[in-house]
Amino acid sequence: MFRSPTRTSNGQRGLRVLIACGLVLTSGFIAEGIGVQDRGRHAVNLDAVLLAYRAGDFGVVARTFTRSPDFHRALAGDGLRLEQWLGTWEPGKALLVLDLADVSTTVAPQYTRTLLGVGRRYVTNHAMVARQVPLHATFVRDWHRTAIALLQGGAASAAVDDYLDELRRHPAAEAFTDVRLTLARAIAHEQRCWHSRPSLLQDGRDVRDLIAASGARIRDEARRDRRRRLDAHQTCLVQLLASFEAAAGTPNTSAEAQVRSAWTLVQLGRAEDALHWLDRADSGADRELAYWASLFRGRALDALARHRESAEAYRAALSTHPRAQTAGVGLSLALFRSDGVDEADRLARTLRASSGTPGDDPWWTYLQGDRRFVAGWMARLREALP
Amino acid sequence: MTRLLSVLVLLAGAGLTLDAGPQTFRTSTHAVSLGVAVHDGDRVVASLGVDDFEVLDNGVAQVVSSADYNLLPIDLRLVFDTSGSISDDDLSHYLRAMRDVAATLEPRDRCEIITFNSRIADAAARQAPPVRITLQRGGPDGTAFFDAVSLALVTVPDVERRQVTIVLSDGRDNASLFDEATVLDLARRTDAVVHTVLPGDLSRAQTALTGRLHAIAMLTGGRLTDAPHPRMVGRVLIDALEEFRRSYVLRYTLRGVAVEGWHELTVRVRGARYRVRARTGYLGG
Repeated sequence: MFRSPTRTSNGQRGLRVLIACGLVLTSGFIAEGIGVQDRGRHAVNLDAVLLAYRAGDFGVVARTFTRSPDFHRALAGDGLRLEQWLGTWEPGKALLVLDLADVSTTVAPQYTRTLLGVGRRYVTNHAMVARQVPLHATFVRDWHRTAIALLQGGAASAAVDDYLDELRRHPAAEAFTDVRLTLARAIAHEQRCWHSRPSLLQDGRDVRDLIAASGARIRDEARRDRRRRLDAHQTCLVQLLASFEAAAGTPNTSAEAQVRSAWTLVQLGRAEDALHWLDRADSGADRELAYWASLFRGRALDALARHRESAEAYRAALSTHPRAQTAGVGLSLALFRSDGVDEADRLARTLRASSGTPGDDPWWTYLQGDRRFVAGWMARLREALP
Repeated sequence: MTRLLSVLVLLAGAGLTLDAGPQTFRTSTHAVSLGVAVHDGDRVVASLGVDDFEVLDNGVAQVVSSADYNLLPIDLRLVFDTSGSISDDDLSHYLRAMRDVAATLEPRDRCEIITFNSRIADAAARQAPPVRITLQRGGPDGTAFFDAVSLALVTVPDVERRQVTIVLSDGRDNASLFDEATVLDLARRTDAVVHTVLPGDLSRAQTALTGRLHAIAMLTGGRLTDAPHPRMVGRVLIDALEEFRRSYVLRYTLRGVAVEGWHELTVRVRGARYRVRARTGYLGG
């Protein structure tokens, strides 16, 4: 059923799409995106969606579920219906589940985890069958990478951990060994540290004096709680360094692990060490990674009061992503702290006046891990379909 | 070039000692311009002259050369948290509050309005009244409090105008590259007075978060107030602006103290037990 990728002519593919669409139209399928008016009368016909999908109409999933989010029908019984429909191994079905999950992240995020859970069981249970052809191993690896990236996009670190734990517990666990997943687990850890940041990280004399003088009353138990949370956060970050170390030893993930380690070190107040890690990291052609590396270099230099150098680091970040607001903020603040007050003010005004999209600034997707690779990985998986 | 450091001082005798830390000096002259608000109970004291003020700069008495009251035009900067936790209803109250406070400005004043979630944006670029406001949410969800407030503290000294920034936020952050240390450092360097307004009841808020808002205000000579209901935001902003408007600008030429580094300030009114509100110090250089 699963074959090496073969090329079809545009004419052949167009004909297949036409036939598939016709079947969807006559099936009573809820698909206002392709003109059917009887919304809500019938349950989702996944066979029809699959047919169109296999014919090369990959947009059918987004059209169907974005405009008529009918995930609750497809997932009745915690995905049991979908699981029953999947049945025997077919890569096209596995890929369709990924597309469903991708669409769900924007229109019905409460279903993403369920969809990927069903998909994971489907892929892992048939993994040995799939691996009988060498190409299938790549397909399975990319499938899991993409699934985890979609979970990361939802900033659900617990879901990533659960997914990875399920893979590890599987009898064929060795089949799923992938250093990218080691990095994914570290990033899930990073998310937990980030979201547990305590307030008033500056537990120094300045802040204490200012708060006391301002008349704010911080009860002793609140102080103790803050101290406890500060300690827990520091411990989280120290353990995170070890998690990244595991991913730093492999060429494919070492640069990203080093850059993320550097950011962890900045948060731990070890700016010099962070610079050392950044000097070692080679971002290669990865533009997002290059941006993050420059951004964190700027932050490390700021922490060392080397504001002129940090300005240069932020300029380097802007050279890869000229519309990135966060690097612009960094540059403005560095200029403000290094005799460039007028330029800092001009830049701040420009930044606030600019419109932007999430894609402009990789800082906004930093904690979403491999979400940035999903489009490319999905394209590669689709290429592998017959 | 003569550049004055505008400093509004709102609480004298706080007795704070601040570690200056590593500094970069932005000014090369020794002229200091200092804002001071004086209250007798709830009443503003508006009849004081040069000789009534005592200013200690790093503990050394300074000679105040002028004490202007409500002479200079105001540059008002409003900073609003409009992240996902703010409901559409609250947002409509905020828009009304922005319009209400903008309507109180004098023709010579200027106003700009900044909003933030993950992204920082102008709802109104700097302009004289009438102020045109375009309020819309945009960018990924999240709250970049530290980044937004830090950027809002970037100011250019202007001896012909007075600058006040009012931040409406609960102080929470989950999306900033920068942190609390950066905001506090910028607060020491900015030329604006910063008032912070908590959208909610101060007595019920987390003290750690309100401490953050207190600290920013204290460093710059502002104060923290609360708006227990979104309907009250406009009134609170107008009161903060009015308090700023009815304050003094003291000027002196620094003497007997090294220019460089952190300058701890103390401001008092001689022979009176008035409440004097002041910023805690400034970075010289």
